[in-house]
Amino acid sequence: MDFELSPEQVAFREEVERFLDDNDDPEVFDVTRENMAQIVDTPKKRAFMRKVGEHGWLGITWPKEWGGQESDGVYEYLLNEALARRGGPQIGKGVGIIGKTILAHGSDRLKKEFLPKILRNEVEFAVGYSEPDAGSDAASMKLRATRDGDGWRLNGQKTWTTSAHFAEWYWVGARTDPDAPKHRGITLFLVPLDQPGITINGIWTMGDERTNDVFFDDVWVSDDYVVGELNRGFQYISEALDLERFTMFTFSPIEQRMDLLRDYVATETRDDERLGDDPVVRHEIARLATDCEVARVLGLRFVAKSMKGGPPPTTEASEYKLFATELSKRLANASMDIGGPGSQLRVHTEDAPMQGRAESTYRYTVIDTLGGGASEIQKNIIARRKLGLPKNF
Amino acid sequence: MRFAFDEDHVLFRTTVRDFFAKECTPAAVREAWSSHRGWSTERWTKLAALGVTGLTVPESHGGLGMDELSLVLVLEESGRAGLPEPIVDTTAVGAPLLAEVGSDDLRERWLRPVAAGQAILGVGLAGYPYVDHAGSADLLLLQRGDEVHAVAPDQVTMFEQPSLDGARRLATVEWEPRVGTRLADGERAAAAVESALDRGALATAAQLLGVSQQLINLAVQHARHRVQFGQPIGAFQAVKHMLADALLRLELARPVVYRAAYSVARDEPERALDVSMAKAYASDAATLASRVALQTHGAIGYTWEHDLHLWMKRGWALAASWGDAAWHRARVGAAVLPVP
Ligand SMILES: Cc1cc2nc3c(=O)[nH]c(=O)nc-3n(C[C@H](O)[C@H](O)[C@H](O)COP(=O)(O)OP(=O)(O)OC[C@H]3O[C@@H](n4cnc5c(N)ncnc54)[C@H](O)[C@@H]3O)c2cc1C
Repeated sequence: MDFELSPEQVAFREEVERFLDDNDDPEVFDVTRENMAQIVDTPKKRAFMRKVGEHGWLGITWPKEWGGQESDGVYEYLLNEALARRGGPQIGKGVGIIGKTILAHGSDRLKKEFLPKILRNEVEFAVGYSEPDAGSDAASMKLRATRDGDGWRLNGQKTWTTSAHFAEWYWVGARTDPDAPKHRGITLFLVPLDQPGITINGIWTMGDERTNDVFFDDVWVSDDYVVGELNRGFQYISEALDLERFTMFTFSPIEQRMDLLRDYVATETRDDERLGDDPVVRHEIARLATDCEVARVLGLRFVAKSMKGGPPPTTEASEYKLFATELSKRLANASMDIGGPGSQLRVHTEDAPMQGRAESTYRYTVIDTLGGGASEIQKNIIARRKLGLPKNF
Repeated sequence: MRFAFDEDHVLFRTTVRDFFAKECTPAAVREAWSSHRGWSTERWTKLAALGVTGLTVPESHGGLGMDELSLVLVLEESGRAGLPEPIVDTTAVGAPLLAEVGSDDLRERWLRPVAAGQAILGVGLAGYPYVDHAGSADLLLLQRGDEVHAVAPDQVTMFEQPSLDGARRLATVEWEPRVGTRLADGERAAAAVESALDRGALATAAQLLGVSQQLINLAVQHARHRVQFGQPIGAFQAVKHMLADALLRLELARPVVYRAAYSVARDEPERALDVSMAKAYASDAATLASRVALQTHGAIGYTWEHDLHLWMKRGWALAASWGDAAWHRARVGAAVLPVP
């Protein structure tokens, strides 16, 4: 057992940091835009991610045959965390979810069409699982796909599709067999978002970010764009969710907010006393610092497990997601509390403590314990898969 | 001992509740967020007609001359409705402060308009850096060191401090104290500031009860109707327990806040301790209720379209105002375990 990075990994991390220094740009990196920072939603961010691709850093873990380097997941982890620490776009959906699923289950045709594009970051994806009546219960999705010639006609609605308003392709689950049990009748499709019949309406959130409703009105998709086998989509979705639970909820922003809070406590005074001298505050900081270390090591455990090949470790992903997102909320609570009255000031206000992140992360982090599977659902997963307890629904 | 409110108190609460149900709907609160001053003079005038704005103003100055035991239920209702108007600063804190330390002239000049809903007061104490609604206040009551001053808004420089709650327009104010504006100094001022602080903390604690109640109500409604895995999500124990925890915290906070109202009304020796216990508990209850309400709602609660965020943000803002939970807990600590 060893917790140190190898010399190669340290060198890699340094190379990444140098690269990020050279490409430093406030329109690409913004630590205050935390919740959806990872999204590649502007031409500048896209250009930046293309450069990352040119370095051969996208798909670092993929097989050489498909342009990857067959490297350890540690490298992908180091890269993603370095990006997250600066509030930059991350390797997210294309490489982490869609690329990996296509590699594992997609046809040669899909591999040839999409994998090179993903590696060069020439394409953005939106992911469509959720529907108005299918949230936690994603398997109850109803978007209907009916057979039509060499393809399918899609009708219905998705909701909460982040990225739909700027992405080119939609990674979307639809019901192809309404008579099968609900999780056996779903197929995954890739649909171009500029297709006639698709309507995208924005939904604005408390985190000041946009997500979308997406409506399908007789949208035609060719058989070529069916991912993997017919009616097995939900299995792929479940595997992809395990990946998402780890890659989407990076640790660096948590660590960074911990540092901000610690620095604030170390330097700020209240009623002529240093906050850092207050035993209650010290106790809270100590507890949070310990929990941050737990989250970090938990993340490393996931990385180590996922390196051994095979399907992604599922309960470990749930454990990490559950702990990291709940910790993130507790940290936001503490920052708000310890930040005192100024913590209600909006981010980007000059006088706001901790760069205004007490307030902004308080708003942003509420969604992390829902998106990617709510905390309650993670607990259900852990109870079922690890403890072998029966289903409760 | 009678651990209950008088019939009059309850009746007045019902009147106010009905008024808010009609006049302070979620749509109205939303409108306040996007309005210029953040609140409605029209609704304030109507509240004045009910006697609410001048509830604490002595009868000799056109008010109802009532105490905090009457006010606390009204404030609770105002929190439940998300009332954007400056009831805390004007009615709960400003009017009693002015009545306490204002000259006869000043009282005559301002208390009647306050009761009539024609003037609002802003309060700035040393321990709390922001003045709520400073931009629309007609008179500012400000502490500087061991003095309390009454200052006209055009004699100060204001700096807007955008709050996460869109209906609370906060500002810091800079000003030069002058002899002519001084209302009190020395011990008299210190005592007035202490009681103003306690009134503010009590008032926000009472509002937080209402905010928490509303958050829980919204969440329970949602849990009853939202179906996942073939049943209402309220059927899942995880959701039930979450909501029960939030309700419990609120139910625990409520009597403590009422107790603090009693102490403030009677100016009991334990006043500060009771108020701090109440504010700390109410802040924590609201923080938990807003977390739980959002978690229960799922994604829909995170949107601008849904009303939930109006109350969540009010809860967060009030929890951080007039002393946050940690500050009040420290005050409790100092009271129950004095430093030798
Ligand atoms: C900003 C944002 C971006 C998003 N982006 C995407 C995206 O790009 N693509 C996509 O497909 N989706 C996306 N989502 C949707 C997200 O995945 C869902 O919000 C999430 O799965 C929860 O579903 P729900 O919101 O419908 O909540 P619900 O399922 O209605 O859950 C409400 C509450 O009930 C609880 N609950 C439900 N079932 C159970 C149970 N069996 N046991 C115990 N408790 C239970 C939940 O834990 C939760 O507390 C996004 C959401 C948001 C807010």
